[in-house]
Amino acid sequence: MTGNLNSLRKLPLFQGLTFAELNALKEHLTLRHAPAGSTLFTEGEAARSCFVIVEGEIDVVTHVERRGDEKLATLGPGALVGHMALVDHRPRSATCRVGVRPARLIELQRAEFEHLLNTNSPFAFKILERVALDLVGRLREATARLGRKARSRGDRHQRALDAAAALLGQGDSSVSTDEIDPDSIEVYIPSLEERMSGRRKP
Amino acid sequence: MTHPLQAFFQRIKLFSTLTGDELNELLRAIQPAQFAAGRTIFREGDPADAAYVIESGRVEILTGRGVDEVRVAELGPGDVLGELALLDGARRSAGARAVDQVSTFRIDKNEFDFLRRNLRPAAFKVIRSITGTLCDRLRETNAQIRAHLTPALLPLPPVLEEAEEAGRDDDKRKWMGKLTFWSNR
Repeated sequence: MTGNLNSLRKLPLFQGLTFAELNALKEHLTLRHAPAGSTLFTEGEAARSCFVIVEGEIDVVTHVERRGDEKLATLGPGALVGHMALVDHRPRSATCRVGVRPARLIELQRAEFEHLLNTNSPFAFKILERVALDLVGRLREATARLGRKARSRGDRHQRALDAAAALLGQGDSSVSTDEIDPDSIEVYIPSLEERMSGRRKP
Repeated sequence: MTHPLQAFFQRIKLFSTLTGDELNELLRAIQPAQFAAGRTIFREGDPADAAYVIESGRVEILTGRGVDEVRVAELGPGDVLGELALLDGARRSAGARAVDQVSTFRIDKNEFDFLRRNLRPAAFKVIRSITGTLCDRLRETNAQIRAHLTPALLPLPPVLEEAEEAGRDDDKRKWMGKLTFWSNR
């Protein structure tokens, strides 16, 4: 990759690296221009590289059963994308798609990333620490999000069950149908096949 | 000289990539710590100043306080707890309490940071290993989030069940219209 080492050094992943280290790394980096809405990689694929966002935004999307694509996060300039599958040698955990504006990314190939992660040079040490801290940050965010989901689901689930019971004229008499906005009731009705396959659990 | 604890630590996944010499270096940062049954090892929100390797006994991992306290896991001999302390020293995301008499080896964060600042291979390998654990935990947490996003399958209301069994499609459609799709959004 050609370009200014100083601008490379502004990206969090490369902060703290010396010019010599950056120079050595530079030849393994490729600058990519990705059109708006294009897919960087898809959930379930084998990983070949990871990316650092220079400009633009990347949506992290996962496929949810019976619902479709769900956005998990949006990452901006400086963020590292797609490194987890390189660290743990497992398939892509989510799909990454460029947002509404075109993006510029720096791509680091698998072989070079692994080399950095497994040779304990001072240089590799710095990169490893960055990657580890990034993963800790994401784990904390995901755990907080899960906590919120778990709490809100419990409430909503019970409310929907109460509402359905009230509408059907059964169950808890303390739930009055007057208080229920029919549009707010969302009940998933399983198909016959789903119910036959025994997945009929609330 | 071989440290007496070397054999024990070599069997623990977090340290399995360390050579004998590297492990010896790390073991100098380790002190034994005992906890009586019911004693708190650390609380949620405490500054994270150490990781622990359990030698014997059981430890419960707790989130929330008081009546909101929820036990999220139980760990036993050979398990490591609080290892994220070695990485970023942020606050504890969960608490830990001894279930019975617990014997641990405490890895002090300051001592570990000393190895880290000096770019010691022992520290590098432990961080590399924690990074792998982090990926597992992140994937697991994301899978749980996905499960929460997945629409729940509620039992079919009896009125629909009857309609379906009797093959009365008109009744079924009527009810289907009233009960829209459940979503967690």
